Amino acid sequence: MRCPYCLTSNPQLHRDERKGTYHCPTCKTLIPKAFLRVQDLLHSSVGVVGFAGHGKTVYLTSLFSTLGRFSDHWAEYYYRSLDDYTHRVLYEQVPLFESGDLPESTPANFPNPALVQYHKLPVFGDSIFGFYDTAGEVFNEVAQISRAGFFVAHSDVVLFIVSIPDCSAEQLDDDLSRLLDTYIRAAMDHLGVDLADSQRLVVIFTKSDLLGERLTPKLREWLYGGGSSWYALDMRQKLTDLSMASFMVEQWVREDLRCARFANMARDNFKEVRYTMVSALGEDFDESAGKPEPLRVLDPFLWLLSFARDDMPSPEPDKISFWERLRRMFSRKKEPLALPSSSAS
Amino acid sequence: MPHIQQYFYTRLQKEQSPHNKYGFQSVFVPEKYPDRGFILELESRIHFPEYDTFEEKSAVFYREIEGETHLVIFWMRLLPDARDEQGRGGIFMVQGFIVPPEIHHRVQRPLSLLYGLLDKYLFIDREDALNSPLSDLKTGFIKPLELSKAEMAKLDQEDAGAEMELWEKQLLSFWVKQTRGDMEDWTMAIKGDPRPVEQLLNHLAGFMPTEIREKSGWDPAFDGGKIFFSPFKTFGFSKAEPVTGRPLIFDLASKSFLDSSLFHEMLSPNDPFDRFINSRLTTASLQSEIDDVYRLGFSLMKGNGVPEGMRLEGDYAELIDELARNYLESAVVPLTKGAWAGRLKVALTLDEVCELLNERLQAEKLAAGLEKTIISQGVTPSMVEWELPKGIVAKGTPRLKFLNVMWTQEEPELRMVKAINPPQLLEAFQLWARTDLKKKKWFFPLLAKFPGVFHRMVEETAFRELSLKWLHKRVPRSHRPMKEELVDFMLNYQRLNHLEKDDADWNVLLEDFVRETKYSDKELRKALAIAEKTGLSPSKSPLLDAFAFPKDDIPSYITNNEEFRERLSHALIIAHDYSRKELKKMGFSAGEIVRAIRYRKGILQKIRTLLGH
Repeated sequence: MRCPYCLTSNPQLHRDERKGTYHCPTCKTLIPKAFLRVQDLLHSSVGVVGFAGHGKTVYLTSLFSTLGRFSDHWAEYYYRSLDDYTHRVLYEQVPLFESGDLPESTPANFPNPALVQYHKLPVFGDSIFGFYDTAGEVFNEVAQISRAGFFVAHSDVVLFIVSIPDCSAEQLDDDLSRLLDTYIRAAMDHLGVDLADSQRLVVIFTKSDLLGERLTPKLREWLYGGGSSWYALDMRQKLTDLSMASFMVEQWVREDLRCARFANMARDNFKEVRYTMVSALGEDFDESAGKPEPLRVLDPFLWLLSFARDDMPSPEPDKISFWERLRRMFSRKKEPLALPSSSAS
Repeated sequence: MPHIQQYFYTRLQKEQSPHNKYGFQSVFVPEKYPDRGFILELESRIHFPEYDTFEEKSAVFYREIEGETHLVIFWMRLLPDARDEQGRGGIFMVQGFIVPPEIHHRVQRPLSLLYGLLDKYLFIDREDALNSPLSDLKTGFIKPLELSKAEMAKLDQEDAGAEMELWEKQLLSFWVKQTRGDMEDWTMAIKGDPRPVEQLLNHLAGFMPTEIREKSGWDPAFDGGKIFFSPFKTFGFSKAEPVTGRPLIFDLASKSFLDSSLFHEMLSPNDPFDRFINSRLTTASLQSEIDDVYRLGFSLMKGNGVPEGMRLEGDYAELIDELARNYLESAVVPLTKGAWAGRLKVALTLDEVCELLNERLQAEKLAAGLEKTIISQGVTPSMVEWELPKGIVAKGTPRLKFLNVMWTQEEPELRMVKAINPPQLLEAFQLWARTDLKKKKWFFPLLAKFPGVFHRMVEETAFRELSLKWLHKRVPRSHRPMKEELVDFMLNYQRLNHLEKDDADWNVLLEDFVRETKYSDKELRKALAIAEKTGLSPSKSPLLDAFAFPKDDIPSYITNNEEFRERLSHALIIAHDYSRKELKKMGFSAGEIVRAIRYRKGILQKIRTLLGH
């Protein structure tokens, strides 16, 4: 089992016979009981990457807030925290967010995972996710990522958070590529992680409600149609819609935002890449006005679930997922250039 | 004058930053130490605790720079009113002081430097730092502080603080061991508000040995932090317990460890420094004394004895002696039962104690020490009930094995006892003599095998009576009429070797008796009566044979020896009532006959003499 606190894979946990509890033999942390059967559930560790101030913490808080409200819509569904830290996030930070207070900026501490168990999610059932929120400053340089970004690099999925309104339009591709380039180098060269083999990427464009005319009409329609009620019914169809939306956003990134370098780098270095756009606070949010009305915040989460489901052992090993078939069909990966022959050199 | 380098970290907007960076960053670094690796290391010590658990906190640690151990003090202040451009709070700033050894060695408590000296250099807020004449927004460097002579002099007036209470001493013991690395991966977390926690740690740090203090460090507000990934090993928290790692938590409110059983497991009763802390440490203890005692204790525990160059005389001699002996005692306790360890530590000289520790309580050395203890203190089972461990005895000398029989009640092997040299054997038997010998039937027979030792033993008044009783019983029935004479003869004429063999010929002893002593007529008569009854071997007891059976041929070496001739004539007169004529016939000269006739006693014999018989 991989410890959610230090991410070390341990063949066996230590059992405290006196208390009947289990601990990671490496970092000695108490492993939540629910986590002991994590292999039987959909599960994933999720790292968050992004520049400081681009909305990583706000997005996660908004996600927890939104998911907390779905017990009214999804039968038998609820979520619960698996440790003290997560409990404080869910029951102290989220209510503050819902009352209009923004979460404080994240210091460059070693991140604690928010370990959340989801019960009876529509289509997906039970699952456990660990979210690792790291300060944006960490992603400015390789050395920092090697230290405090350790968790993110070893996560199953990375949420790559970008606030386009906070970037300079002229150097957007430069900024995005620089951040991704730094992260890839740190993970591959300093932490020995083969991202193309082990990590999936979900690109999240935050503060999308502030993009205005830069959004295409279709994307604007997609964004503003993504309030909480969108997720209430017919989840299977919504997953198909999400796949189409990912293509749409990627196309927009490549053609409208002219960030093909970033998109190509992402596609080449990660196992899979999806694109989403969200507004964690909703349109025209004003801190004094109170409760945020987020848009599309569950889209990345649904991708997490979908990825986790793909990673579960399949009863029919030869069966290829819908997404994989779709990806292969639309794959536009270029053939590598032919190298000069050895005799020519 | 030595300089104190400075460091400053906070969150800035891009246009404010000398590095053109947004967010939390090392804004100003010392020009002398611009290395990015060093700065990253400093940043790794900055932990912003979850929630509003602090307004200010001071983290302390030590770091080697250019071969010298520098003290680093981080003073961290929450800026509650500050907001970033997104309107978010959680902004704080950290001012760091990097203090060279020539300054921090002048104080025992690291925070003595901050409070009362460096605090006047603290920035009020970010603007204060950015606008300081010491900081350079173009280069990102900050100038060092230079202490004045008056400020340096102030360092020497450090207040030692209050005497430590028992719980503080226990905490210090634990902290020293934890910092030294004895506790594997255990860390210490103190539950309490940041200020009292740092005050406590600072106070305790003042009593630490220098080398340990310079390995220590603390963050007094580490709420929610990840211990496993932190370079610190000592933490404080008030609301959210640190996660990961193995913190042993001390609750400042109740002044107790939350899992006291673990705490007690970790306190080692045999640590000399622990003993020093608990019995000798006061606010008057000098740093040099603390360092020496720690060095000694550590060296002892490593089995290296007293470190080279440590003074064994003067002020510390008594302390060092006490610590070494106490350490030996506590180290030996697990190896032996009962009061052996306590006796051992008293019996040995300090050199022997150190040698024993130096040899890591090697079984042979320990056996030798215990043997010395038994002998020098006269230890018998009435004093120490528990026998020595077989493993130690097996490695000991034959004498220890012989002494150990006092506890095992087994019969000692003669071969083993014979391997003991006589002076040592005497000491062992003398000790044995103090025990209850009634049930030890083997004792006197064994002792009799060592006549020299037996003789020395008998010289002791207390043992003499018991020895006489046994010796009298050893005289065979046939010789009982002369038991007292024979025992006296053995004792007075060094003839206890007669008892060496179990089948000793007592007529041989009787022969010696008549040959060497000035016996009385009565004794002679008794001796001859015994000789007549028991049957003599003329070859083994020729004199006695001649005395008892004078008509047989008398060996020439008797007849040719003047003294033997006189003794023979005396025997012939007393036992056989020979006449002058018979004596003359035996070949005695007139003079010899005249002298022999004088042995005649009683009126009838006198008349016979007058009549010329």
